[in-house]
Amino acid sequence: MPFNSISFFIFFLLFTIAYYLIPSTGIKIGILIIGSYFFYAYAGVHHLAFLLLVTAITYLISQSNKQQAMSRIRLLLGIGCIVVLLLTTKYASVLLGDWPPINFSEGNLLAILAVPIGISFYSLQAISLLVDLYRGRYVQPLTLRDVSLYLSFFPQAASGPIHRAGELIPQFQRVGKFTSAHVVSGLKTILHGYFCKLIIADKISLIITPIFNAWDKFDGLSLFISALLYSFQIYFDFWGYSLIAIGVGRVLGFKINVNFVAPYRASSFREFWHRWHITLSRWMRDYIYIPLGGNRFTFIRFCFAIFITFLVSGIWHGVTINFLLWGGVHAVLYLVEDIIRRQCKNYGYNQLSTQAFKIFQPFRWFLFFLMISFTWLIFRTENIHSLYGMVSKMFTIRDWSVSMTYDYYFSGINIVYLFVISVAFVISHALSKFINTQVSSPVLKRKLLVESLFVCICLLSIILLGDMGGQEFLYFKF
Amino acid sequence: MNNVNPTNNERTFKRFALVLAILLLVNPVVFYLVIGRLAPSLFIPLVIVGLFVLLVENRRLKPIGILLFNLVIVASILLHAEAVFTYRFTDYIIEDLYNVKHNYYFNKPYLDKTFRDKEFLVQYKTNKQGFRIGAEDDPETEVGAADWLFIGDSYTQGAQVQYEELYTSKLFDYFPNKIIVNAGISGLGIIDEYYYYIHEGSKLGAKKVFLQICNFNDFMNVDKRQFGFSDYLMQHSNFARFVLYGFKYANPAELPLGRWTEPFYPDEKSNRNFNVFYQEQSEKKQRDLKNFKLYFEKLAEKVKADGAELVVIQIPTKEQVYYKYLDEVITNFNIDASKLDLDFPNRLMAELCDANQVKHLDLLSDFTDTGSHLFFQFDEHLNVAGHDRIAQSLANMEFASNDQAYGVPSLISKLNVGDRYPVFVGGDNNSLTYQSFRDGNMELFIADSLFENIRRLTWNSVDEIHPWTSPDGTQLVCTEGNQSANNTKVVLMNIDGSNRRYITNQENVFGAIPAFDFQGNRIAYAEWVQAKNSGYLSNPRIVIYDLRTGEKSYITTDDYESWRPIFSPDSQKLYFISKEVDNQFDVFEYTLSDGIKKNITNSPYDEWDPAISKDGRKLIYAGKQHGNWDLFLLELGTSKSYPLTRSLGNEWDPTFSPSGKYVYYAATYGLRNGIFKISLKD
Repeated sequence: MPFNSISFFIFFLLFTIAYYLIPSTGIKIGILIIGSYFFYAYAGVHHLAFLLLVTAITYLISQSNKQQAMSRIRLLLGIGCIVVLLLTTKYASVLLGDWPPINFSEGNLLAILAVPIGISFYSLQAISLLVDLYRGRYVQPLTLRDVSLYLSFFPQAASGPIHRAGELIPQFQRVGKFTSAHVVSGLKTILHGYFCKLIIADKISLIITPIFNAWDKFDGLSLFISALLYSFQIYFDFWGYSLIAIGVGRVLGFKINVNFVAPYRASSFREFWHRWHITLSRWMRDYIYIPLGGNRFTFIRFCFAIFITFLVSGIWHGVTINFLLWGGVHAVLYLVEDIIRRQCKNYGYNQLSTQAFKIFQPFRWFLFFLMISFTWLIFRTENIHSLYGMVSKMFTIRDWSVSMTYDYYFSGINIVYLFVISVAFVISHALSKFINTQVSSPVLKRKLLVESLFVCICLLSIILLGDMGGQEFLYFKF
Repeated sequence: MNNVNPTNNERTFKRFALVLAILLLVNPVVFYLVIGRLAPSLFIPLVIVGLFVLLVENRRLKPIGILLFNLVIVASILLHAEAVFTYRFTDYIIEDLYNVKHNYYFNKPYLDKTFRDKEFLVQYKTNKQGFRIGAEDDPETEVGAADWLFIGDSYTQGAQVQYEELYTSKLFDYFPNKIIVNAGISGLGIIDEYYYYIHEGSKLGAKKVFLQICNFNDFMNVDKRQFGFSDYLMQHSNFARFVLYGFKYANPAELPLGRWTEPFYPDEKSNRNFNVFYQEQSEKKQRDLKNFKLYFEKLAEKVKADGAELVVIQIPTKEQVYYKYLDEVITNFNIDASKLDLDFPNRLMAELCDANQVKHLDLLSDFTDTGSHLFFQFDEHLNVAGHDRIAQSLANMEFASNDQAYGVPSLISKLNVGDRYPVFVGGDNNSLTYQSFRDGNMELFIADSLFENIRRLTWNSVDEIHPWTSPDGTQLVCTEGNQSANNTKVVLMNIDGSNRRYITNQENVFGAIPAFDFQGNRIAYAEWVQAKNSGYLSNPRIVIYDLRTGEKSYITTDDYESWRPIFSPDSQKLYFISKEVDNQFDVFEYTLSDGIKKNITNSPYDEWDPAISKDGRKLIYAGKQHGNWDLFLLELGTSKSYPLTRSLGNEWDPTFSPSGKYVYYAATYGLRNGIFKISLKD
């Protein structure tokens, strides 16, 4: 049930009413589990079946030998089961190729296995829970109810943010009373999320999708601009989703982790991964990079850890060549940047005055943004041939045509889309800070008018221009 | 020290101000202008006011109150925008043609639109059920059952040609007694069509269901339709439709070749994904084809389970039929012709039909063999010749000719305007009078037996019905007045409409359905009276009025209803219908000389409209044996009766041709009606 569907809207409304009408904490937890399971089962019972299977594996592994710490073998067994399940469901069709042929209409086994919603995300949470138990990071007694809700909690389970057990499970012990300020703040966050998704990301998609579909018919400049725009599309799409998840959690009285902190303000890959999909980056760091040694050993070992971490991140998104390449390119660029930083440190360039740093900072930022957009291009394309063709065109000036670019972007409906996107972008950044203010803050009262303006503009835009139930979230497929 | 707590007066004032502000924002008057219903227009603002009063009284809920106030502002902006747009900018309103249903959409009822394009100008009108009807047809006419149901997309909907030029309408020329329902809607695919059939179409109980497939776009994007919020918004708001139309729908002028070229696309990826002729198949295309197969099989299964037969009509694209268009897309879109398989969808459909035992009418060869151009030049749809071609192809199908157990009638009427009650003019073997709907009421006409020369006899604003001419053809008697109010008179006039005089000339006496005797001396009709004090209407009884003496003879009593008297050719007997037995209509024979009355049909169902042959040996009547009206022939000598027609329509008002070889009658077949002719078998 995608967040941008009318069915979710109705589900969430009814769920919230039921959730707050029931006074008993135990029943509230029960409703949360049932609601979460309904959220998965809505798209097909097999989506729920896989969630239940991962829950069962996680719970059984976590419960054995309660008196002692979890053994390494048991941990590996648990992780192995989850990873196998993840690989089988997510990558079976790719790995097995055409054999056996997948026939979705006849309900064969592979059709049933076809990518259960959220499996990439709740699998990571399950592994995180087992590792934290093994390492003793999570020591609280764990019930089946805790594990079930931790893995299925619908505001975040389908596409993140990814939580550690210690961040989420304790919140289930104190399910909230109705607090109107929380509810209102959550609703505004949801509204902001929809605004980012429906008005900015979806409208960018409408402009650039025809270009990506027929890249060979367009000039290099048009492709270049579409690559830059895609960086914004993926950001606003995923950020929008995360905001909705945070808002839904907040309405129900839960604190959901922030996943993005202005990632395109970063001017280095290291900084970028502290701002982009923060919870995934953190998971990769804690459960892949650090166990592989991180930067505690030799430089070669560090390079190896970085490569593996980014490749796993790429494979996690998909096993097609573009995701592998995307992970690999990120690893290379990250390492190159690290080498440069080390060299600068060796030569003392990092001691440059703040003033000099400020002069170069915009160039550094712009260069980084071009590079990150290039990596998104790898992420977006489907095969090496298309990628090569697009990049060749983009970097061959004689393939640029200003008139063709102008005709495409500034005529017909596209000029309207660009106008809507630009205005929405300004509104989103200029006004959105007001909805993120803490509920106790006096800012809430002082900025009432601006806040109301934001709410009204968002609502009007979404009602009139947002195609609710239209394009799915990009990260819903991962 | 100032008191910071508001006084009661201040609080009351604030509440009053809030209520007033909300009522201004969601003004019931504006609400009523927009939604047009009084109760919700009053109820919704009251609920909102109540909600605010509740919220402002509770400090804990104040943040929600503020948010709700924002929502009310937004609602108010939209409400006022809708009202202003609807009433001030009517020229900009984009008419909405469709109602969104569950997983499909269908025509709105009572549409009356004109579609203008550089290639066509078409009147698009629908009846109360949303089925397309002719420009002059009555939108209140419903269809409850069908012989043949056509489901399909814009090629069947045919909004580029007039209703009468649709291939489904042309079929009426070949199969006039079939109830043919056209449920084609632009943009519908196999999944929509399946859902239309299971939710609505199957209720018509058609014996044959025709599924029109076009290679143009039926094999791409085969997904279950999901309606977004904007679809519902556009359905209900003129303002939203105006704002969103440009976002949702492409302007044909902006298309790559200035025309719709589906399934050919300028880029390879789209061709791989959507073009059914393109040999390379993406996962998307494979999934579409699997979905197509799945829903085709489901539809075939459902149609079979309903006891009907599914027939597929496959329409080729312009590119399949004309090289010119194929060359245009290949050249302009830089498509490698060797990668195309132009027969693929036809082979695919043939295999699917074969596997599911479904009849398949592949129109590719019929279209390519036709010399004339069957499509519009810019628009992708069929022109009049294209529709004509499909009708011919369907008429030539083997099943069609085998489906006429009772003989095929001929349609005589030229218009679908409720022609009824044909009666041959006395003394003229080639002319008949009839009634027809014109200018808002029924008028009388006289025409030759082919309806090629038609003359209107009456011109006024009152209904004139049931014409009957004198044996010498100089006079005409008919019913005049409001039939539904039982306020009708029997009128006698010259055949040209002059010298009008009333047979039922008393104020409280009414009459209807008169008939001359074969000598022209008497008129029989049904007469009833209205009690002066109570207004009570008596049952109609049969009366014979002697034109020579002005005397009336009453044949039946008013204890029961009696109608529609006719004389036997020798004027010795009278036939009429009466509810004398079991309160249902039977045909009675009354011998004038001895007053003996005989029930000659005596059946458990109603009979109406007796007509007698010139030799007095045969009587035809309409009988409701199967729930609808069919014609029956009764041999008066043997009392044996035979069905003359057996259809889902209603056949009424029979009359023998002067030669006795044909029966002319009026009928309604679904949305079509008129006067028909059928030959009498020996």
